Amino acid sequence: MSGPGGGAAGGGAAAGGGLASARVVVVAGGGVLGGFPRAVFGLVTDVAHALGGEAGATRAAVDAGVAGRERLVGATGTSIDPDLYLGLGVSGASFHEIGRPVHVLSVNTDPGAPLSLRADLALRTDGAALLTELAARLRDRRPHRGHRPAGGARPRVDPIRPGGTPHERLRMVTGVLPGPVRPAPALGAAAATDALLDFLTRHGYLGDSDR
Amino acid sequence: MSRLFTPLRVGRLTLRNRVVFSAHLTNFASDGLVTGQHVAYYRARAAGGAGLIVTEEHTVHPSDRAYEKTIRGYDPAVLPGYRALTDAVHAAGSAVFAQLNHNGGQASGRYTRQPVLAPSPVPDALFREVPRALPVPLIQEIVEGYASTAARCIQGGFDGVELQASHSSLIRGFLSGATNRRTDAYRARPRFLLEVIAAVRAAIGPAAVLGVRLGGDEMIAGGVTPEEAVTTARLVEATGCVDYLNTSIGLATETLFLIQASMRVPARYALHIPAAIKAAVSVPVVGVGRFKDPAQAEKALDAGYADLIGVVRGQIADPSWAGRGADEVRACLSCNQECVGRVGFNRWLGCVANPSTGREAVAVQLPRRRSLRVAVVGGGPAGLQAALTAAERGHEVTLYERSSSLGGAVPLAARVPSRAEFGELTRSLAGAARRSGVAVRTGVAVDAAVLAAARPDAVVLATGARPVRPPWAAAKHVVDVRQVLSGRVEPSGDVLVYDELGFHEGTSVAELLADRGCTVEIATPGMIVGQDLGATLDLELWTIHAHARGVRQTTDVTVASAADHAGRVDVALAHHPTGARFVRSVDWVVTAVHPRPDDTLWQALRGASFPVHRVGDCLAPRRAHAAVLEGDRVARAL
Repeated sequence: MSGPGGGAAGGGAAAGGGLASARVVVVAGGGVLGGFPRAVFGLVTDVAHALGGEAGATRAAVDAGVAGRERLVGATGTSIDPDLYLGLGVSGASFHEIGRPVHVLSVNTDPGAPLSLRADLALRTDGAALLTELAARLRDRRPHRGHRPAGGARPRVDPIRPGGTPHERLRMVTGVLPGPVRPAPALGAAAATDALLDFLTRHGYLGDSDR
Repeated sequence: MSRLFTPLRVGRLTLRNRVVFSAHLTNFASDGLVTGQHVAYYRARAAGGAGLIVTEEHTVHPSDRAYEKTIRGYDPAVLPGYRALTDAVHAAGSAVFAQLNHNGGQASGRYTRQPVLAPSPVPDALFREVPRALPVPLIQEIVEGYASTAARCIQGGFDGVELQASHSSLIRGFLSGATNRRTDAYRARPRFLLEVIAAVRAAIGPAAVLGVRLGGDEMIAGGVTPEEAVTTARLVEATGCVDYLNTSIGLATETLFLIQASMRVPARYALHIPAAIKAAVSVPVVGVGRFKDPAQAEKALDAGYADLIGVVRGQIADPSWAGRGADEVRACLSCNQECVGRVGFNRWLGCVANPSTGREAVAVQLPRRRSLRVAVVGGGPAGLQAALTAAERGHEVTLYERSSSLGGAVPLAARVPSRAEFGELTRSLAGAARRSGVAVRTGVAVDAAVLAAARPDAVVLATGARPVRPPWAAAKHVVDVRQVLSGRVEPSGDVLVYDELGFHEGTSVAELLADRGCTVEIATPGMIVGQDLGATLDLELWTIHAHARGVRQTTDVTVASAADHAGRVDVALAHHPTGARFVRSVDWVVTAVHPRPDDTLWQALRGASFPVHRVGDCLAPRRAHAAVLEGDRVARAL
């Protein structure tokens, strides 16, 4: 997913309306299209703005007419390099390059989606239902101003990672995750939203409630 | 301002843009010589907008015949073919270089009936032949071979030559610690390369371009590392004789799957190699690795990772790649089925996504004057290609698809994340068909009466195939891979995938289910799991993934029965080499078995007043390339 070429220096900055330089990116994928596609992207945008970030879309979402081509994130669209990447119904196929986020959050009914397998927090729940709940609850919150993600400075990676065994370099290039996986358990929308808000607060992406 | 389409000076030559059609095997040669098909093939990419074409390798010495259709660069008989090729490419506006090579020990001695030659007697992992260690006089003879072949190339009209010093070459053999165990002066690993550079520059004079293609990471123990590649690049530049550097990744035997990486590997996966080399040298550097459209290449140049972008498979699939918008490219799928795979079977190169690839020298029939009203039934790859070709020939085409979306079985196969790019096949085809004026009617089921009422001049049936339930499947939890991919069933717990097909159907679903947390065993009558994944370079990474997820692989078995038992399925497996039987108790059985043609409409249309043609799986279920080729062939004959 985050190929060595997926860095911040990519083009498309103007077309994506700040997407290329956004520190928080919320992306709609093919998995949140059921029922009310056009409304979905409005909610994704609300959530992204509530987090002080920008909304993006995968190829599947753009093809389905949910979002405009200028919102396309990935190898062919806008290159992003956020601190926080939140994917909603994003499988994470290899052409969906997401840069090198400090935190990856994935919401997907498919626990085997590559994005969920690599995520710091994978929520196995319906993306559209979670989105509705999340958008409603974020209306009371504001993004943490000038946040610095917990865990210190962003790791800046040299295009060549010196050292490493051939196996380690192979994993870097191909993106194959080593070892067995533990897929996330299924959650309802409310519980998933709780978990998501908790993560965002703990890692400094959200300030306290206004109330 | 596009960097990709900004001219670039390379040596004393100015290229019109930064798009390179890098060297690759085509198997178009005949008797070691350039053919008319070579000329037409390279001319098409030049006409399509490539700035630079580097042809496939020309061997510099008779001791190198790595495969049957090697071009004999050392033989003066090649000259007329060189002139035809270079004239054609120049007329279309591109520069053209010849790649020079000796494959060294990465070859079989079967063609020459001599031992293969290498720096040291270290057998290659793929060919498994102990080479003869090169004596110094023979090394000098081969250096001379590079020089005289290079001079012949320039005489034949090439603008320059590129030395293959990467993944499959004698030069690489000397450069790599894994294969150079010499104790004489050539233990200095770059020595051979530097001797070749000096000899070739002396032979071609100052005006012609000289490039070197370096491997950036062999990914094997003791092999070339990125740091070593940077050091070599500096040495090469310091000669003052070399005008540009090309790059690659992998070793064309042990890690071949990295050189032409399949769709599982991220696009632009090898960019860290040119980026590191470019930071160390001032000559232009070519980056390669799955650039799917010009937008991706543009980004790599903008980011400063490379000065030129090598696009091989992208331009195999779409000769006009360089001139297209990102959404108009007839996209390469990186499926490797008809390019890498077919060449591996000693056939000429083709492309799943483009039925004309490899057939450029065959004249296309002109459109008929009177356009026919053509009805195509079925919107999978066969139907879409038939509709596209018919529309391009001037016919009035209506395509009927009974489901709400196009693609047939392709979007289903693409549901597996590591196979997602396979969906580009019908996505591209559908876009091209619409742009060519095909009237697309989705959600419309047609029967014989509807077609008869429409009174078409011709009907093309592309109605696909239906899954078959195996006769042994008595249990309810025996399902077809298509049911899993469509989401109609969601197997969990212990799953046995039974694979009679040996291609992606079984292995990709086994991977999907393992990623979802199932405990997966894949069983096959074959001697290995995924037997056809080797030719497309998918087997290695599938195997790595399967081992990482604990997928159990069982070979040489057939299923005797599958019956419900205590809430599970008891599957009796028969080990055919021994006749032994054993039972697995699982929650689900998923089958990847041969489907049958869906020829209902064909049967109903017997005796119709209009001609009816069948294409693709409804004629005989096969892989996607057959569907595309057949759709094209039938539409050309209308």
